[in-house]
Amino acid sequence: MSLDSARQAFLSEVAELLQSMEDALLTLEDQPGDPESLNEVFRAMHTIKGTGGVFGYDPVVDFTHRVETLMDDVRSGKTSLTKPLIATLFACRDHTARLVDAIADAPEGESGLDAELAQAGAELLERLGQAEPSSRSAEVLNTVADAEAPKHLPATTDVWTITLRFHRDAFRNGMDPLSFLRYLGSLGEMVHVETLFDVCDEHEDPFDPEGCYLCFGIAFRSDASKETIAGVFDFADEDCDIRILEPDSAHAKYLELLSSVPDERVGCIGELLVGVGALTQHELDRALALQAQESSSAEPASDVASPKRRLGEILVEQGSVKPGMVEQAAKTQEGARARRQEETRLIRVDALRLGHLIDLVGELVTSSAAIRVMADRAQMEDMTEVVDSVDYLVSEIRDNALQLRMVPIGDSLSRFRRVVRDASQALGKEIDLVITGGETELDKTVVEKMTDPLTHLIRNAVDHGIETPEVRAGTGKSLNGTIHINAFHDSGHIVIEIADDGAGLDAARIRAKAEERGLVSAEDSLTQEETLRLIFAPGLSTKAEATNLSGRGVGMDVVKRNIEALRGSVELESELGNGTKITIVLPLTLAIIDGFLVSAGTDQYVIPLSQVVECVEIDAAQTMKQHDQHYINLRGEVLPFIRLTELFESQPQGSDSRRRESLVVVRFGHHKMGLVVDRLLGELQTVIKPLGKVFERLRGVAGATILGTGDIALILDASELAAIANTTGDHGRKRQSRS
Amino acid sequence: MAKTIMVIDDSASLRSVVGIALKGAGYDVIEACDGRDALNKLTGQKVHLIVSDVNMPNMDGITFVKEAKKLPNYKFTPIMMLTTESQPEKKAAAREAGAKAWLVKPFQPPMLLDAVSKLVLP
Amino acid sequence: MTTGAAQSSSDDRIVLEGELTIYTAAETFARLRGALQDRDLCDLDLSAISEMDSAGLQLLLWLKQTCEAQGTRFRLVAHSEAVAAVLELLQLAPRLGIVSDPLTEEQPA
Repeated sequence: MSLDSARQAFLSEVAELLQSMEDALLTLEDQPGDPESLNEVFRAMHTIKGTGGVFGYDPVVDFTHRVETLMDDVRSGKTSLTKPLIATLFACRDHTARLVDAIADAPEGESGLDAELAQAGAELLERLGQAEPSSRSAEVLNTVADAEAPKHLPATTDVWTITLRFHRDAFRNGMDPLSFLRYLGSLGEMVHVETLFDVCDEHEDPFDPEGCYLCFGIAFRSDASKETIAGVFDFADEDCDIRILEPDSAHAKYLELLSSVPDERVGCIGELLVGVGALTQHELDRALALQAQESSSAEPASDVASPKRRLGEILVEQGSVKPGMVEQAAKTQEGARARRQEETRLIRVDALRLGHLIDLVGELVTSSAAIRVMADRAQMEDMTEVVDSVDYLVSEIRDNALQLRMVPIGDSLSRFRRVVRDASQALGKEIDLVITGGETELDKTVVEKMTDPLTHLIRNAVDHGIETPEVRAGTGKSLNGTIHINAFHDSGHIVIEIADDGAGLDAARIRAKAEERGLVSAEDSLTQEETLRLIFAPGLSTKAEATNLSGRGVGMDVVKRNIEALRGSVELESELGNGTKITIVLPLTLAIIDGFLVSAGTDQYVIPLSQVVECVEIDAAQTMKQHDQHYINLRGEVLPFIRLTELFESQPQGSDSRRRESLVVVRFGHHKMGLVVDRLLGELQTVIKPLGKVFERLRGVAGATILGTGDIALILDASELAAIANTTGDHGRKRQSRS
Repeated sequence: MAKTIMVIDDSASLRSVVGIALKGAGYDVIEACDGRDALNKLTGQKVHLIVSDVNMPNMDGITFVKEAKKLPNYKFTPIMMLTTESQPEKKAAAREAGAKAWLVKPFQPPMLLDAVSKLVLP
Repeated sequence: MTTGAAQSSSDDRIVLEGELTIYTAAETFARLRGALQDRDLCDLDLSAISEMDSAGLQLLLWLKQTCEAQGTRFRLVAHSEAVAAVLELLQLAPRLGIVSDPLTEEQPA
């Protein structure tokens, strides 16, 4: 077969493989987990990569390799196969076909990869999350490392000492030492070869003609690096003891290099030596294995662990390096260690362990609250003091434990650059994404749960919000649209704003649509804000047809639900023609908060302390007077308020006229409101327990907590309460919202 | 006397490119499309090196190595496996069976020639 | 596959033919050991060796060592190019008693 016909054969193989990949993808659309189809997709990419490599079709190899890597992750469960991912894989299949076609049409030695094709491939890989160049193979990696490592020895023409002691089974294993030596000869000059035939006693150990008794000592003159020379014996590895000692001139250079290794590159002694090229990775591995073996076989009876032999010692004994080298490496290491002491050390911890720790801290908080209650009841002075200090410690532990799980939100926001770029490209829009406040920290679990809602909101902004450049030009806006994501902390919460300067929401159309869907009746009068909020209602999509990017099943109602599940809230501002701003407010953590305990009627409630502005005593009569409006005049400021006993229909205690009530002023975002309660019970650490499904629709409540007494208190959600309070003082509406 | 290398891979195009490269370097080449085909073609002639893929229909590379090691005329013939970095367990199994050399796919002909010539010079 | 056959020619040389490799090592070893019995001169003719690998070379080294041990005189009287290439690579020509340039009585096929 000529090279040409081989190429033809390759093309038809590719066509077959891509066909079976397509079939498998179609199956996967219906049965995402089907292992056979997953394998099929993997195999197609894998085989095309392998064969393409032989032809030197690098673009094909690069591309298919990354798709293969992804499929490997999918097979192992590391990545889940979503619908969009399947769609992307279809595109990848097509792209592979295009790449191969381009190569087939290109003149000999050219890849046929033009800028457009390369760009298309890069985008696909970005969508796959495979944009980072990953290692194609060990070989490739090594080559790159060699090329990029100026630390490696400059050429020296000097004599290396190589000793090879082949094992008895070497011939039987298919090794022919002569082959290695012939190959070695191609890298330099064999100045001297000493062949040792190592049969001692014919009687004790009769000569076996199929056994190998050969040893070689070679003086070898070459400019090659130690790694290259060692590479000659790669395959002899298991059947031969190999020692390669550098020439004296190289030895001096290694020493010099060792003393000039920058601190951040100083690892352990072995890595250091490998790093400057004085030691091969294999030699190091062998020494480490020996070290481990020695220490494990050491006297287990003795209490004191028998001193582990130092690695350097083993390396010298193995003949891998000369003693002076180890000393210099040790010196370099010592110096770096001293300098590095103050630097922060990072440890990676399993998220599950952290989660468990935080759960335990939660239990600790509850228990310490119980102790506090008992101490108070016993009225023992000194015990109260102890409880105070325990409380303080517990709250410190709690804060520190929660802090462990805090991550900057920026890392997860930056992935949206890709989302925006891909999506805007697909729609022919010019969009700049501006991210500010990326350093703002919040709980990792919250970050993870926010990815989907944020993606949806951002796609919405790209898809429906920002207009095409033509439209924008017509309205006098700059051609480039801007989406601005901003994150910041506000009173114990994190606020994420997503603002676009696009078309804005058309209240009239939303209204019309809502009426059409029967969500509101024509008679209802709604404020602008209320009308806009209708887009969070299930089953309302203002865009006539769903596009590829958004509007596929997941609607704004799901976004809102996801956010509310995190005890957060979402608000919407929009001006027709001028853009939309969505504000998401989330608690920093899902687990434990500082709370403020109050009682109303027979029940107790916890208000997140971060939301409490102030507490005022109020004259019962004063509020009664204004009962109809549910507004109070607080130092000249008009404040809506809710009486908790009324909201939760709790039995008031005592007669109305004699009751003294307190007003707790809470703030949420830019809303401020009052909560009328019977008694203020003070601060406490609150472990948030989610409410079950039954209470899912209960508005104004974020969860429950167990008090030190064993009683249960509801945790109030100020944002929802604010919404309730703001819907004027209409009782009917309040009832309705609770149903 | 030219050295003979057997190339086993289910991709005909891979075989032929490898074949062209090896012949160009001065080796004789025998091609086989899977392990079974390879066993059928090992009929007593001298083979200095076998280069075999791992994943193949009919008979995979690891089974082939085990079988070849039983043949008196080929039990000492070195075998180089074409593996991928994503299959460490396959590599271990092939090593256990008696394969001694490795080449990671995808490779280009020069890499193959380099690896082959460590075992058999033309 | 041809085996390295050992024959005694008229002038009492030991002649090996064909390939001298791991595949023929056991058989050749058995013949050589037999041929060494009661022999005080071992003239080895390797001019018909088509191929020699490390196992073959090792056999030569064994033969020489054994001859020395039992007081037999060992001489490599003729060798092919295949043998010469190996001896040259390992710089073994002097050790195996070849002082002159490698003589190639026969060109290998």
